[in-house]
Amino acid sequence: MNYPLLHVSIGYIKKHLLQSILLLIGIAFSVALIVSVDIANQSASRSFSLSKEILSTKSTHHILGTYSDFDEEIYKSLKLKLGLKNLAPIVEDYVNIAELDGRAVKLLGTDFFADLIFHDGQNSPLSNLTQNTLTELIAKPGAALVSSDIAQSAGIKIGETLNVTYGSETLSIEIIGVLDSQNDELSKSLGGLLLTDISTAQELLGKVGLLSQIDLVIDEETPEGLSALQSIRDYLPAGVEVKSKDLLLGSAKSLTRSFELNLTALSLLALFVGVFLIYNIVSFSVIQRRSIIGTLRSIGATRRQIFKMIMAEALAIGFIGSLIGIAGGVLLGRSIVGLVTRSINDLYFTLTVSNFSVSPETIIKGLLAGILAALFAALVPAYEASSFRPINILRRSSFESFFLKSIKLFGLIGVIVIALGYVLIILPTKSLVLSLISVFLILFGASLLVPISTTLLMKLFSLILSPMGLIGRMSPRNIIRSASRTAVAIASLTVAISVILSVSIMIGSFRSTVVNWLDSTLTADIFISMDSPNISSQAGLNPKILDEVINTSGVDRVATVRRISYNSPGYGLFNLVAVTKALATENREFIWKEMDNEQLWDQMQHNSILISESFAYRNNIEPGPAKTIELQTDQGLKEFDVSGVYYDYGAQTGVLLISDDLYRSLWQDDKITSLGVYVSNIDHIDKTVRELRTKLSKYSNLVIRSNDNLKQSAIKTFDRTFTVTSALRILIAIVAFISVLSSLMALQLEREREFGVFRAIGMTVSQLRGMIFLENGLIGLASGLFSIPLGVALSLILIYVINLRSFGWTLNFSIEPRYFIEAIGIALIASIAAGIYPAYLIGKEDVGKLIREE
Amino acid sequence: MPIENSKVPISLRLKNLSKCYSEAGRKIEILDNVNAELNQGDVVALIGKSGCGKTTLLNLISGIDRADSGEIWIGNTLLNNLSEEELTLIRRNRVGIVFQFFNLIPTLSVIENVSLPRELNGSQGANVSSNAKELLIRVGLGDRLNSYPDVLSGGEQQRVAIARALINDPDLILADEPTGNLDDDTAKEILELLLSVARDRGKTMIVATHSSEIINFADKLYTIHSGNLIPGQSGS
Ligand SMILES: Nc1ncnc2c1ncn2[C@@H]1O[C@H](COP(=O)(O)OP(=O)(O)O)[C@@H](O)[C@H]1O
Ligand SMILES: [Mg+2]
Repeated sequence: MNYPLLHVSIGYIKKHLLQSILLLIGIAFSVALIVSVDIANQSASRSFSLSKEILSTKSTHHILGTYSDFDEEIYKSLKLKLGLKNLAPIVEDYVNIAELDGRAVKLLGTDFFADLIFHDGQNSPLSNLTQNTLTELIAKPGAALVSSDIAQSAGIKIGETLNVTYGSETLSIEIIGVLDSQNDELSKSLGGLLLTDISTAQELLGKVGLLSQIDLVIDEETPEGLSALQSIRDYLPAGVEVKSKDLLLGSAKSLTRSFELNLTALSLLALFVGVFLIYNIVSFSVIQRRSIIGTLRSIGATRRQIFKMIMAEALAIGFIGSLIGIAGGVLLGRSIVGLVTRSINDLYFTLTVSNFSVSPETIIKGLLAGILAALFAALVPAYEASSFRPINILRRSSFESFFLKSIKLFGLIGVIVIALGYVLIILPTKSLVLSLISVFLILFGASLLVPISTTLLMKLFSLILSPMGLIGRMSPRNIIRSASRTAVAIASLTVAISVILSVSIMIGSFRSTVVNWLDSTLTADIFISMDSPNISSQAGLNPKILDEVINTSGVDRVATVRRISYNSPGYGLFNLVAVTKALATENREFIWKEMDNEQLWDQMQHNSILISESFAYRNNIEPGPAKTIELQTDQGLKEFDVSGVYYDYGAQTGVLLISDDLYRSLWQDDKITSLGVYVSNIDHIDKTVRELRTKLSKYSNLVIRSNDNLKQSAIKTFDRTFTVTSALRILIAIVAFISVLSSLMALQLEREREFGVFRAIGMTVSQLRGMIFLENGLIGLASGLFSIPLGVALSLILIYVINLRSFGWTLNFSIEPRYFIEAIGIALIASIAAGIYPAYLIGKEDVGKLIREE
Repeated sequence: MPIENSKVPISLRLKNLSKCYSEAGRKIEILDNVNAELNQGDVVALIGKSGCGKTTLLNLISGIDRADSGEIWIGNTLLNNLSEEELTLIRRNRVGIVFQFFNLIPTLSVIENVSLPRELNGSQGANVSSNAKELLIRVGLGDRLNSYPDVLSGGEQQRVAIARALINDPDLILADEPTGNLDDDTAKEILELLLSVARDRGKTMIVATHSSEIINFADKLYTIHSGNLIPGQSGS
């Protein structure tokens, strides 16, 4: 761009600073959302990999049990018999720190003389410790090193005792040192950690003679590495496997992938709305400058130069806006990371490390998103500017009439795009990406339908409002007259509100489905479980509790639940849940079952299991007869018949339900995860609860709660997993709000002269304000009305396609009138608020100045 | 028999009227102690070089702008003390304005444009539109009632504007270079129309103009020169 044109641009931007600021904010916000979600997603998977790197960033493989710990002899044999080097044994599980609101941390024990430990030499956190401390750590029972983040937040000092809960036990741990590393990577992986000697951990966790994991370094590129790997595989007993770190990461990623993809899609929606905003503001800047541009053309500026001028402005603002957005996104990312980590903890697996890292790719993504959006949105206005003819008085109306002529064509293209989106949905595939693309197509198609719908609706409004007189008739016509801008404002508001609406309907339907499901599944009167249970923990209640509960007066019968986290090569990560009869079949809603409940339970005593819908969906098991599942048990590999598929909205990983007797006969595990107590007389339930509390007070970390209480806490957990979605929904609303604010404000500020004429021929300030608010109100109302069918359509896709493909859950569509009131309300508030500034200005402006003829 | 001045009601009185604008910190005196008295039915031509202050004066009279000092009386009403709202009502009901660039509302049809000032008063319905229609027939646009301004020629648009200025039956018509944007023939027609409607209805009218034509028909002639309002002088 040459120098004089640059001056024109800078002069304009200076003069219309407010517009440029709104544009910057709009771009910055959209970019910030994309950046923060990307940071959150990457940080979550980084957290997972960090949690696997605690002892050494160099470990490449892990030996793990499919569902439980394994014999420590394996470690010794690998070292002695196979002569392997570079290994480290690990015993670990999640414990909770009561003082920190039950925060889950990892208690990890290892052999400090193992050759892989903190292999990274001088960066080792152990090098900071004195020989004394190290000796103490090994010799003293209950001694541990604590990671600096825990030490800080719990305010604990060396020499003090930290109480943590594990299952129904309280463990007293003496803190003898704080872990710290100069190495940044290493110190990140040391978050949320209590490090002990291996025998200490074994004792504390009740895992004497057992190991949870062995870390090793094997170079798969070399023949020696490959043969070592093969010999390990040959050596390991069934139920114990060696897995590469990448494989583990991959399976964790694929589990959370859908969740993260949905967040990414939401953040892209903000950009989608942002494009409208940019289009509107750039196109205003072009219209406002039509006479300057006309003059430039008449004195010899080429079309290409004008086009470049507008695009260069968009590029500059896009660039600056993106930079601000990236900074904002990094700030916002901190909160989003927290929310995402919490959701993953609730839905998938326990993350104790809360990592926050911003990768260069994230920054590049944000920058590209902002700049490309700005350039894309500026294309049409830049073209419009370049086609102004070189005469002094240029008419905007020619573009408007061109626009109005094209609205049918837009509508037609819109219908085609929507149809294409629909086809993508009904394709027989499980692809989440395809369904998200179809959402964008439908939103885009609907936006193309907005101009023609607006025109029709405004004609209708004009009729309806005609009893109000000319102002009533004029306002809808004003909206049509500026259709190229009003329709875009309406489209952006419509898109944003329909997204908000559809997410509300989806969450609402989900919630009501879950509430119904809880009502039908949670039948026991009193529940006894561990406080703050961790989804990945194998901890359980002391089996003695069961006897004590049964022998409590007022207790009729007791049902037990044992849940373990299972990671099988064939089915990935899921929960194996063993239940007694009362909880097995009676109140379950089945998608399919092979026989009636009585027979089903009989079969479950022998060889049958039930699977949850999400387990079936994830593993492509069609509900129906003759399906089997093979699982590693303590008695070796066993094949089970799948006798039913049931609805379940608990852990997202999927559930395999087995009868308690069958479980106990095949697995050596006597622990209980929770108890359901049925009382003989519901009227005396309070007394029974009191009695249970007294009786069980010797066990720590127990919660005894009534049915209602448990349901409430389950719903609270549910709501928590959707916090991040709700937060993003609000942020999208903000982008839409800025978009509407800027476009409607600019639209009205541009009409200053017209307003001046109104004032001159006798319209009072309040009449004029009334007209401004009426017009804005109509725009809001139109957006609200359009967003209802679009929002409902999107919610159907969200519920029946995206949710199913993401989580394998079938939800019942349920709708509440308040969603619609909210949608229209938000639209009206946004658009009417956009009238406040112009309405205020109108009272201050000098009418003479407004109408002064040049 | 000559009519005695004192018996005709005073329609407009300007007393020691001053207005200045400050531009780049410098005060420019546009009107300096201007005085004038118009009787009901006077048709006045206001002439002067471009930028001498014609529009400024008309804007003061219509209450669009406020004077720095001095008084403006429309009939028995002193504008100085009126609020913004009251000035608007004066403009709506007692003053009709015709602009150089017509300034029709593009989203209103011809008849709606004419009805607008009346409707702003809250009156609506058949009565308003029959009045508007009558006026449009009077200005020669009886067959274009439902057209929109963008399909009308400049002259036609100005006719609509004249009808609009008359709808509330004002005492005073202010026309600011009403022919400035029209070709000569059309300009002549419009001027004749303005004169005839004003005379028919006995309206007081001030026409700011370059056109020499009106000078021949006006009852009074005023020239603005260096901030002074000089009666009876022709343009420079
Ligand atoms: N709002 C204003 N601020 C500063 N100067 C003004 C303003 N309005 C008018 N003027 C100046 O006052 C003078 C008279 O303007 P105007 O009344 O429009 O002249 P005319 O209508 O006779 O051509 C001009 O020099 C103009 O620049
Ligand atoms: Mg003038």
